[in-house]
Amino acid sequence: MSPVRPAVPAVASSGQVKNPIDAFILQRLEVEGLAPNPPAAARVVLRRLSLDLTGLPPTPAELAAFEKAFGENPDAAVAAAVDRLLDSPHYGERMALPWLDAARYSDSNGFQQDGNRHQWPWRDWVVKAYHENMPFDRFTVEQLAGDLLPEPTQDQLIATAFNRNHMLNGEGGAIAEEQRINNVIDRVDATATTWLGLTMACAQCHTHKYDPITHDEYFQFFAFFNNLPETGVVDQRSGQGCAFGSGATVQVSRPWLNLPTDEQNAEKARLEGEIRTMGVLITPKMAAIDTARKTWESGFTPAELEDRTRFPGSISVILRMPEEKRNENQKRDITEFFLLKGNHGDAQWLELGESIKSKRDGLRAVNEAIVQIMVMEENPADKTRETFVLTRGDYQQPAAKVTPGTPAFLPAMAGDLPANRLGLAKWLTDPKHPLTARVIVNRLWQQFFGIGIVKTSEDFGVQGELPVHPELLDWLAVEFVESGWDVQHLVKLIVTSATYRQDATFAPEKTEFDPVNRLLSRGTRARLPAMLLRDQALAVSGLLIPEVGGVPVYPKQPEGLWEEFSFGKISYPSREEKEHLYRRSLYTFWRRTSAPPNMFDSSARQVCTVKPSTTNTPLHALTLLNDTTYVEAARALARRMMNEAGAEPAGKLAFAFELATGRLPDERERQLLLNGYERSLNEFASFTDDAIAYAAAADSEKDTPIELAAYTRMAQVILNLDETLNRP
Amino acid sequence: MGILPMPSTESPTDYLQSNLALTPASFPPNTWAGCPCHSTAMNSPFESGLHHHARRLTETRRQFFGKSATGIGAAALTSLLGRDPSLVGNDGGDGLTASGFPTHVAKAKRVIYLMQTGGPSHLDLFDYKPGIYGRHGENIPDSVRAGVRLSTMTGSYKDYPVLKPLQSYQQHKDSGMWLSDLVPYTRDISDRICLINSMHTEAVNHAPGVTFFLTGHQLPGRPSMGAWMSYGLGSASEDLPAFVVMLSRDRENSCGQLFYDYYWGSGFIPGKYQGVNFRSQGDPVLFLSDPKGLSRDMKKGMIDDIAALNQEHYSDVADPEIQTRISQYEMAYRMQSSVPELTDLSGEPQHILDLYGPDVHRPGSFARNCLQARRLAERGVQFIQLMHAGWDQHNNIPTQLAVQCRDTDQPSAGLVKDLEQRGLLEDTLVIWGGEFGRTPFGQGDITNAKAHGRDHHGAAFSLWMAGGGVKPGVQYGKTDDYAYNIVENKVHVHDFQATVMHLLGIDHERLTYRFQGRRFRLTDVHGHVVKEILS
Repeated sequence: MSPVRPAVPAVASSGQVKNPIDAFILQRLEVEGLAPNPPAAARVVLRRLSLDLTGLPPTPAELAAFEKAFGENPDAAVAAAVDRLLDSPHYGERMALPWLDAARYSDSNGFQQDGNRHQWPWRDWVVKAYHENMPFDRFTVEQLAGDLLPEPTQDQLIATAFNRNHMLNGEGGAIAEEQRINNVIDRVDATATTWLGLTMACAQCHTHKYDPITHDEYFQFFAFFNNLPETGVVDQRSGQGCAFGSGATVQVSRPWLNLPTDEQNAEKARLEGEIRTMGVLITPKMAAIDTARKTWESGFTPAELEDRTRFPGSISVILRMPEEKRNENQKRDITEFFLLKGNHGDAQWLELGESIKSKRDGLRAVNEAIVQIMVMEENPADKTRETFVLTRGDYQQPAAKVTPGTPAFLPAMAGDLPANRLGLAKWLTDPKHPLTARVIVNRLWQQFFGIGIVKTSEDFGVQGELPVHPELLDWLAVEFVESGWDVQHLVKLIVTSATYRQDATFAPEKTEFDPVNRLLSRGTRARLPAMLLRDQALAVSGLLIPEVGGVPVYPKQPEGLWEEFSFGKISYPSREEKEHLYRRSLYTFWRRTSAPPNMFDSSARQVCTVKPSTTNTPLHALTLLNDTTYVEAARALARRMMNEAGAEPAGKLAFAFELATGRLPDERERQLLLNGYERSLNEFASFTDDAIAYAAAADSEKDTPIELAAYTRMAQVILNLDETLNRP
Repeated sequence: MGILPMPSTESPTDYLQSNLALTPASFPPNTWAGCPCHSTAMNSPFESGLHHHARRLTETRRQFFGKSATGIGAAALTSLLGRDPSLVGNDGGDGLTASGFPTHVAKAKRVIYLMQTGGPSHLDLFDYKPGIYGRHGENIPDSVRAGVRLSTMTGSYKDYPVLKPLQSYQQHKDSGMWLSDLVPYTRDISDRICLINSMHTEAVNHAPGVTFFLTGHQLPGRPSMGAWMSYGLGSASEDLPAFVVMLSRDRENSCGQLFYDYYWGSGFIPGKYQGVNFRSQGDPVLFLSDPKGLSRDMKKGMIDDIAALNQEHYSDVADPEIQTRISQYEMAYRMQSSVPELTDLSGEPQHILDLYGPDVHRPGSFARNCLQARRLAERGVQFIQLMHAGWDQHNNIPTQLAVQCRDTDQPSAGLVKDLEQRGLLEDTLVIWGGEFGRTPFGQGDITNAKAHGRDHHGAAFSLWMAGGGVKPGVQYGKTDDYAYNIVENKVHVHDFQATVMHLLGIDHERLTYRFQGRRFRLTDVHGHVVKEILS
């Protein structure tokens, strides 16, 4: 069952073969009597490569240089461009997007309270791993079992957040064990879909006659993900730390990892040192303070001690304990409370209390601001959590006990592998594994061609569709494994192939035979994902802040959305800094109850999703025409036209057209653009105030508001062209 | 059975065909009998035989590639339906949308679902137990409570004292139904509603409970009822979406639940089927307003410029999706006029506004949304989902229940009357209900006149429907003397869903979508149409 490298087929049109991918594709086309499309023009190739590999469009300078090199030697030009793009940090960002969907990455927990979470260091880990071309087997082992590696590094622990990106229910009446089981089920689902291309969920309730996975096997697999110190509920709520927004609290569940910055560590050490010093200062006074405090305490009736208006809960508890039962922390807390609120009349004592309090508050603020990322951790051996088969998947009906294991229809785990996540990860990345490499190369194929070789990329099981090019799939899988699981090697093979470099023009005779281009007799034309549409608009307009990584950001969205979904409990932080407004979409804060509204067709980041959805609705048109970010991009692009592109309107329009589509307009298009511009000038001519409002002209620009508005309108036209919205 | 069988004896062509080329005609109808995870009927040509039970059948190449429509026609059709043909694979099989629906004559052309989240107390409003007033404070016997799962809030209680209904009930003279004084307007239209007293659900908490009602599953990720309907029946409106959602909450902001967008999401079916949230503040539809300073005429000119340039590009690359893009931009432009017209209530006469009660003047109120719902129904929107929060009275039922009823009772009844007087009620199904009911026992100290309430209760609760093919003036199902358990004619959430789909002309077992190797449907593997309540 493990893939064996098939012979590369001989094809009649061998001159068109750039690498073995083309031989497999051409062989099938020849069988069907179809000819591939001619190679795409240089500019189309570079736009396609740039958007596919970095998610950002090529600049006019890059296009011109590439066109020249391509004219001299197309293969060398493509190879050089691919190398350049693979080296870009934006390659890591682009490649991370589908992985974040698979990992249901989010910045909030989902469900009723939808508290914030700190999983973004994992997102940055993924971007970095792709950027550094981490071999996929290591990428797998670290995410599934980084914590079980010998002396794991901090990065390896962060990697395991893959399996903690599930939703988390903080609802009051939620039954902890039920929620915990849901978390484990979600891990099984995400892991099985991502690496095995298998949907195990069907076996959750009972065995299905024709399913390869039995009910018992499901829970053996489940056992890998069950043995962590997890409660099923939110274990810690904290205030507004970590540059997170208003209203929401951070809610995390065990196990987590603290990720203090160096500054935070230094600040903590400083405050702790000062608090220790206060302790030294206070020691000589302790006897007097204790005496006064005991007198003060004895002045209250039992009912008063319970009065929450008088004492905070934690203090009330201590006050009602006998002195000798109080531990060191409680003694400290009550002493500090007494110094502040004890009516002792000693100004020095009060000052001491206030000073300690301010330092403790400072320390708490530092602690709350420390990023806590939820990660995986195995229970110690003496506390191993047992796993039971759950009848009908119901947590209330445990049946037979099971131990971790893989399904019998797949090759068994090697005997020397531990029966835990590390063993599982090594089993998955065994070069002989029949699924992992096929599933991963299929998804990469899907990323570059729109549809996988197996169309049901989420399901390689017997219920899934069979591959349209089975031998190619196997060839790629073997190539991938033998290259050392080298993702960039595989990407390079795909994007340098003649198959990938075809022109995308539709031909009726081909469309009739193969409407969705499964056989790849033409290049794949596809609308960019909404996240990349936004990135492209920012890049074209020059607004983009290309910084990689960091805490989630808050670009503009219509007012009141978060309030509406949370009944006013959580509000969107309004930020004006360009570092919030114009970062790449992948850094936008993702709230599960109210996802960023301009990122249509995105995965909801609630469960593992490995197949994107692309639709075409009027709501998308409204977004691209009217959303503030897109309007601001048009305004900025208009300014670029005014400032960077000669004196003639036609040249200015061509400049913007090239920025957005990667090519210069032809004669007819030039004319259409010019007509549009002149009509806009006329339309705005008698409405200067409208022009100023529309183009949001600054004072310095008010001598040319009509032109600016007309160019803004044309920038909107250009940013909304089908060609702009598509990767060619 | 293996995975990824890759026979070397077959050429790729045979392989492709053998696996993709199934048509309904050639499909043996009972192949899947005995497997509970799938329905037995095969309805759509796009539900191709990729199923694990399917036998390999071969057909011509044309049938594989062409499917029901052929060639450029298919591609154009794909585009008109708003899909991206380069990425086919999101729908079931190579399907464009579901076909073969309605499966029978629909009694309802549209649905207005007045979802009452939080769990309205059935014992206080709809399930009359004259004997229970005398048992106030007595413990509900263990034998009655046995086997019902409670939330963690009351799961560890020692006592479960009966909390009598807050107010008395009166009988309606025509329908004969007994309804609480808290819902006098609903009582007034009781001869037009079908009241089900025997609903039950497994859900214990709000989000899973609401998700279960609206998507057929407690965890998020599946298509909601309105998305299934759009997928099955398509859209009847030229310039409004087929599925619209409006949100409101209790005025006191006391016990509201969050609303998640998966309550009207499309799950794993294409995003175009998800509900469009008409908001009460800002733009009714997100991004509906033009940028400042851009007039409607200028916007039209912009749309025309985009279309002309797109047309140029189409002549080069011939991608039919470009034509779709052109038409979607035009529809977007039309929506910018049709939606504001829809939400402008200035033309509604006073006597109509009065039907919905005084709260109709408050934007974002449930009453206002009820009136909007009627306007949407008039304009061809097929699934209108109102989400109202605030029924979760754990510790403030004596004060808050009346507030909730004041906000919802008159508008709900007003909507039914308004639809009726316009002749719309006969083919509009109005649904009123929450995700579960509330416990007949009290939560908290029931001797404290203000601070007590009821916990969540899924074992028995009530829901009503009106219009669109349900019997008017009928009460269905019975509970025991405590309104704790059902004793007659249980209606499970999946039965309710099957019934709603039936009224829309959809056989709930046949509207399916392939995802992750199995065919999903709203009712999962369950659900029976409640025939007794059909008119």
